[in-house]
Amino acid sequence: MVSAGQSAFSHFSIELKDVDREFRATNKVGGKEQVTDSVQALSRVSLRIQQGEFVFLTGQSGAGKSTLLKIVLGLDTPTAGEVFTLGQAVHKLSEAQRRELRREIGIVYQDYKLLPSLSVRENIEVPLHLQNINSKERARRVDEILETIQLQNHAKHNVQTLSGGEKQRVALARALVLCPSLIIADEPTGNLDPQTARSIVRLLREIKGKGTTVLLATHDMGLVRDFGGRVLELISGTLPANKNHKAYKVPRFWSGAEL
Amino acid sequence: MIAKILVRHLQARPLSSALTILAVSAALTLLGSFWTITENLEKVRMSQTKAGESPSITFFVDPSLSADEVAKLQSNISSRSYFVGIETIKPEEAGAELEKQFGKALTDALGSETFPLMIKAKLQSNTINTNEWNVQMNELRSLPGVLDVDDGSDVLPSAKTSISSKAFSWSTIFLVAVLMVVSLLVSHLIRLIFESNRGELETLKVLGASKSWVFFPLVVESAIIGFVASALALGTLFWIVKGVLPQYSEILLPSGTQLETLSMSSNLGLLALGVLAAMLGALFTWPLVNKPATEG
Repeated sequence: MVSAGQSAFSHFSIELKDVDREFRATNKVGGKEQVTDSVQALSRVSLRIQQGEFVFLTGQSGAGKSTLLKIVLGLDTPTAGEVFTLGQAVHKLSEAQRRELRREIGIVYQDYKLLPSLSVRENIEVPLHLQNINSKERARRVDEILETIQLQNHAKHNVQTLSGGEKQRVALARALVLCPSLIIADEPTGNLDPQTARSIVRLLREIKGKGTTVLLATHDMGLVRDFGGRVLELISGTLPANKNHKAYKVPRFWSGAEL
Repeated sequence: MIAKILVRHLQARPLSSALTILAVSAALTLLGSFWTITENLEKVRMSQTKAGESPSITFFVDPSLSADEVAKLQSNISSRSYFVGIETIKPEEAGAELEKQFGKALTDALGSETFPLMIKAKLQSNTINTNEWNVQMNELRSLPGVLDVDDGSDVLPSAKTSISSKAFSWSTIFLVAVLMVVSLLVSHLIRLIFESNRGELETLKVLGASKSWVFFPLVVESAIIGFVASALALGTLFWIVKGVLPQYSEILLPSGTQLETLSMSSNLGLLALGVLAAMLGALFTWPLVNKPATEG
């Protein structure tokens, strides 16, 4: 039995069906709103990502990667089509339900989006606070994740004192601390040197090994080549190579070494 | 963690925060000054009323009335609930009283046979107001044998004429005005703080923070601003009343007048008003908090 707002294919972490997203610029002329300009950011995008998959989302700047990720996270609403994230019909969810959904997802951004007034430990604790987890459990989980990202010695440091790579590791730790079943990373390596970028992706690949789904948007083809795996390439808002979801299964047009 | 977020928010706009606190404090000081004046005037009025205790109303009665008629009149007067302690003064006693006050020449000129009989009744001023008293006065003046009754309406309270009631209506207008000014000033500051920390607040929303989680620090910030400004206003008022005004009391105040600072209840009232008005100001930022999450 599938309840309202649940996908019939709940074994997919992410499922998009014919998703369109059009941005319109409007102007009021004589009291009536008129569309003065429009951009089709996504056009009939369909995809399925299974639980435990590691998927690169590639494409040039402006191809629609960030728009797609926002729609998956419920930060934007498609003009048409259906979006299911962790089995929930995001396009039908209220703002409060979308917030609840995002708490279940680990999110990593290019610009880290850390809270500058807080220490490393406190930043990692934020999602635990939002889930009302008690202080003892919070401490245990943060200690564990600090060890994973090897920042135990920086726990009390303010995040503003860290290097870019360290900040991204903290952002990653914040995303991982709730052991989410899905991680969405939007250009997490964009501000990092190649070596640090690879260490971050390596960490994400290790997480994938634990059954977590990872969707990583990047325009760094070198990374994709190095790490391989499934690749979805957005071209001007479309997924041309993926007109049928079955076609996703072997879309490795870069075959890199699996780590 | 929230405390750190609070401090950072307040630090984001130090000059705006300081100026807002000063402006809010100035508005509250003005209101507090008005309250101080009202309270001091009220004290003067109360002390005057206390000095007179229950005011005496004097009935001037025709001296030709028989003892029975006088007794009947006394009974009529004492049956009225707003009178207590009726006392009759005989014409010769009244004459002696007049002589004591105005000298023998007056009593000689009037002649002792014209002195009226006087009935003094103490009025319970808290049982009747001016309007009711005026009606009663006309009735008392028309009682048989009564030549005149002196008017005691000046010692009676009236909903329209007492200092406290007049001050209350002005206080209410002033209070609402200050409430609005404080709310607007604080809402402007909180909006600035929100804009300065928009990225951080949007990140919290993206991570799934509830509206109350985002809104709570903003409300606490406004409460802190309100509290600091109110405390500053109370300090300023105390300094004005106890430090500044006594130096100029000879010019500004009637001799022997001592101004008192606000009562404890008014102090607490001003403090609460400052905090509440500031928190009300934070409510104006609710639309910003209520907006769906973006990436900041």
